[in-house]
Amino acid sequence: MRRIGGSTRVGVAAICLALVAAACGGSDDDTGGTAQPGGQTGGTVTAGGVFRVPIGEPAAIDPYQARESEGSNVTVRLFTGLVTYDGNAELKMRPGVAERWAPNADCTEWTFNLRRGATFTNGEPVDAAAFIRGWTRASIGTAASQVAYHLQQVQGYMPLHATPPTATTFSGLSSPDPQTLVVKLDAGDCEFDKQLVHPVASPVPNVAGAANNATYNDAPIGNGPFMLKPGTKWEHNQRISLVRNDSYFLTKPNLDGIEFVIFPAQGRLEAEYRAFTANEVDFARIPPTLNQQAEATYKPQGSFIKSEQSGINYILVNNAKPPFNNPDARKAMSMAIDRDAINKGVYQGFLTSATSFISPPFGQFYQPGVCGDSCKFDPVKAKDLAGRSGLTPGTKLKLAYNNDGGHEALVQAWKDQLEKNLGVVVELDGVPFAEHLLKRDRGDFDLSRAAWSTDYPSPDGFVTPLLKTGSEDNDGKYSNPEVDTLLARQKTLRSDSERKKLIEDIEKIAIGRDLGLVPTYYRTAYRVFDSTKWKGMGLDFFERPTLETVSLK
Amino acid sequence: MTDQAAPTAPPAGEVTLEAGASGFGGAETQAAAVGGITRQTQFGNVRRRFLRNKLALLGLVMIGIVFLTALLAPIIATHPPRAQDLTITLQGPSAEHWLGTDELGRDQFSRIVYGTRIAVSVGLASIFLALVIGVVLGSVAGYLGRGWDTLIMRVADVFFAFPLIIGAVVIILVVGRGVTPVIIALGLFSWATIARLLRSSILSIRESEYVEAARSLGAGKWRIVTRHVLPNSMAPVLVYAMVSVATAIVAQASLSYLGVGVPPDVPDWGNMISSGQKFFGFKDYLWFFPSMAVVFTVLGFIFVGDGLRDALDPRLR
Amino acid sequence: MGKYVVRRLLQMMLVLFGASIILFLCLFVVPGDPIATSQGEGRQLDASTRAALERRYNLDKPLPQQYAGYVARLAQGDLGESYVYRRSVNTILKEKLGNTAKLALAAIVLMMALGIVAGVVAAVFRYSFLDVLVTLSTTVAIGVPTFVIGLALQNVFAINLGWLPLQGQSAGNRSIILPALALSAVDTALVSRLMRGTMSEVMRADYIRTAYAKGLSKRVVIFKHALRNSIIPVLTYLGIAFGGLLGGALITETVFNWNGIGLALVGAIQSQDNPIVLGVVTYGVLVFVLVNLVVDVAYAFLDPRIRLE
Repeated sequence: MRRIGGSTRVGVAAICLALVAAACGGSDDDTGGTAQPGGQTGGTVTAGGVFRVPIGEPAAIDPYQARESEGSNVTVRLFTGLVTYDGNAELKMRPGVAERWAPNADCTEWTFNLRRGATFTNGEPVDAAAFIRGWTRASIGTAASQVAYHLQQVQGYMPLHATPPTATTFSGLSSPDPQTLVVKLDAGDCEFDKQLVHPVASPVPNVAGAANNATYNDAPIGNGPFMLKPGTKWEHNQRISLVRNDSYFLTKPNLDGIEFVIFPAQGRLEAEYRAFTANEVDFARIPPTLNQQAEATYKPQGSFIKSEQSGINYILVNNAKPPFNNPDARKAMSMAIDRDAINKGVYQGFLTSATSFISPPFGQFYQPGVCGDSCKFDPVKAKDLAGRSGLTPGTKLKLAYNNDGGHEALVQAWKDQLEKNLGVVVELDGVPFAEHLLKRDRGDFDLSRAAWSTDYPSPDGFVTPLLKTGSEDNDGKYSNPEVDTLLARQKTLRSDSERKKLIEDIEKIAIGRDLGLVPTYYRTAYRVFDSTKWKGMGLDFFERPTLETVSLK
Repeated sequence: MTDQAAPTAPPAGEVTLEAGASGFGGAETQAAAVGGITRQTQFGNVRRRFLRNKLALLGLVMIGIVFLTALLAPIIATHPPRAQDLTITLQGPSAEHWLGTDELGRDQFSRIVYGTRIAVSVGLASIFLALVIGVVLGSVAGYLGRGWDTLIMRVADVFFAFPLIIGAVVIILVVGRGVTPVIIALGLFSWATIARLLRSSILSIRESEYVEAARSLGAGKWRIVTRHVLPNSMAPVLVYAMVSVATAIVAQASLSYLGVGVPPDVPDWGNMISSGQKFFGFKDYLWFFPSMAVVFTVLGFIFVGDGLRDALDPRLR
Repeated sequence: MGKYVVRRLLQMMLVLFGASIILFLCLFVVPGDPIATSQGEGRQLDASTRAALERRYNLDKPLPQQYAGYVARLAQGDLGESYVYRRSVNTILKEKLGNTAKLALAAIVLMMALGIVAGVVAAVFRYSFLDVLVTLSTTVAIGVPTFVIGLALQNVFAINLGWLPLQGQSAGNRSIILPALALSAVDTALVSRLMRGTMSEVMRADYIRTAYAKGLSKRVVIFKHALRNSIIPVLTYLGIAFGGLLGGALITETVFNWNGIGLALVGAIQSQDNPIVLGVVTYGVLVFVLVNLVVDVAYAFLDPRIRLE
């Protein structure tokens, strides 16, 4: 597990997980994996305790609609899918319910061999049928799932997902025997297994019924390390109580249970943090304005977590119209912004300035400094370059952002710096999130604050949506046929090392040479937890607390 | 009931208000003044009673301060209100920055000074809008009665049904953020009370004796309305309007606090309180001073409103 | 009497109808696409997902048909399904309504206790120091915005003195004190001023003087005669205030993180969860109008002149 910085606790967790990873037999096949023995993590660990975690009211905890972080935080404790990811730098998937898996020669067909004996907490078997059931249930059009698109590469998705559906079964899925799942894809994707870490790909038991089964929505029965406390269900806006699943097929967690305490959305961060200071919860997020105070108070005790996460913050640039259709203008703009000063002045130094688009947690794919001089503050060079590229003083620029996300300080700082260093005139266009998305979609902006993160551990989750010509999420309309070719090819490569080379080239061109979008800051997460009572707490790749490895001190 | 002539003569050319059935003192006519009898006009009485009220005077002074600040903002402010300086963020009050700096290093004092402009303009403009709509519709309803009355009052009911903040939030949702939408929103949900007040006032005056007298003398409808009915029924409306300005200023600050008021970079007290709240507990000066500014302004209007009410209706004394 | 009630009920229906049209139209004029918002910045929104969502939210039908559906459901008391949570708006609001109602009730109790007492005291001891104190403090209370009062209370009692919880509802009965104080502040002031005003007038009426002349004690005069006659307009005001409070104490719930329908509205506006916005505002309007109706009927019952209007 690669982390930049971090407290000792995170280090301990990392070492423990690394030992586990080392314990399993390495495979020189670059895709697929082998089973690992259920093992103890390093060091003696006390079992027991109930860990209290604050969350906002989830939109859903049922896997078919696991669309936001609050709900997913609960779902992944209740369900384990085909594969898991432990944060290794090679971005390789580890066995979940599947012991071994491998694609065919051109990665259009994947075969998963499931372990025997895994069951749901109600006794039903977790077999290939359970996965087919879960994926079909989520993908069928009548479910109107907002996350089923993760399975869209599988053959038969489109007719199933149509409104109304023109198929009732998922034709690309089959199981020659209960322990084997065969997945046929529409096009070759050698990283398909990575997408299966998303909770929507969870297996579900028969009792789940259809997606709109309200009973199951509020009390899902799964096969994960935890289960709902018997006799309880999701108490809306109050709490969700989980207990350890003692028949879990992988390493059982140390905790006896988890108590998810639900806070109202408004001012939730402040409420969470205050609850932590009052010892009402064991873990909390920190309002950015209190980072300094939290660090000062909690770091000495070892209760402060700093974790570099996989997301990226950037300035979206409208490549489709002047002045930013000229790469030099984009570079000038980027050089006119003093990332470090903003970091220090507005965020008390708690951000990490970005020098690349793909961030540190992507291990071997991370290329620090690929942005080059463009991401360094140089007002003189910026002004010079601006003058030569049409970004002359007096140019009117529209800087769009959503005014309900707490970005005021940031965009006003950008505006101030651009006006001061380039003499341009920046109009701030802050509207509510919904309208903001529309504007971006229409290209009604010159610059826009933006952020991106991915649901699965692959840089493909960044480069394809944001850099590919014509991609829905490529609001900046960046387009480079050379990059498109590379993007298409890297999906078809079985070898990680070959893929790495292509991804590096993509970033060198799209960011280093073209600066199609302007990275500003990586995503650094800060948390506090009660280290007087607990140990082994950190954040995983998905920014979730490591509840499977935390234990009483 | 007629007031006795006062020993001091009021200034010439004073507008006279005819006596009303609601108990105002009667007024001498211009003829009497010509005859050398010093007249005491109703307006003069009202003004005198108002000025005797210390709290009302204080309110006038407070409003004056706010208006002057709004007018002379560029002179009074020590820094440009939107100038950022990221090297001096979140500093407490000092000699250089009298009320401290916010998270972008902007001078709080200057922002509060410029904030008077928004408060005053939104407060006055929205109530002016409400007055225009309310007076027109209220007088039509009150004087023409019958079908007009029912129709207008039902429409007023619909607007009445929305609590001010909720209604305003909905309007702003639709129209978008900005100073104008806030003015429209607040005006739209304040006219109903004004119309109702005016209407009931007119209803009671309409049937009074002096109006009947005017009618029997041959005065036309228009003349009756403008010279007799309206002036006398406006008193409660004016008092309410004054207090409404206070309510509007509070509402506008509340809307900004909720994040649906004027855009965030505008120096506005509600915005300042809302962003200052992030630092609640350890940088309290950020929300405290803008709050005091709101309170000061609002109190001024309330004192004046109260004074006006007491001056116009001597029965309370 | 009966005819009056029926007439008023019909008027209420009209008002509700008008308000609901306005509301409904408003939400559809709002820029922004609730489906795109719901997918957010990081999730893919392809054509088939959009079609599925539009079908689910009835957004694929023409506007008049959508409105008709909305009204039909409304008539049966069904407020639709939340876009964000996929649960019935009724259920969601019911869960939160209890909290808002608790807060409203606590505020009313405070208003009655503090407001009436302060007003009576000020009226009885007119022009005394007590009167001045009450008058001044109520005037100030009206002038301070509710959220400022809330922040000030939090600062003093929760942060500096640590006596009461800062926000939320986790501390049982202690949690409600500060929000109730903040919510009731302005209305308490208005009630006390109203009380003082009406009571002062009543106290100078002839029949009160007669009572004194008859030799009745001050206490009897005040409580048996003056109070009873002056309290009607105050009760009327309280009734209306309650209706408005129930409509969602937006600001107070936001300041104190009180999980009521006001807070739900604020959140729903940001996430474009239109069914909840519609539901809360409809509900708020309904309660306000209903309470007004009750008050008007009671008033008409007490004062026959109004009925003939």
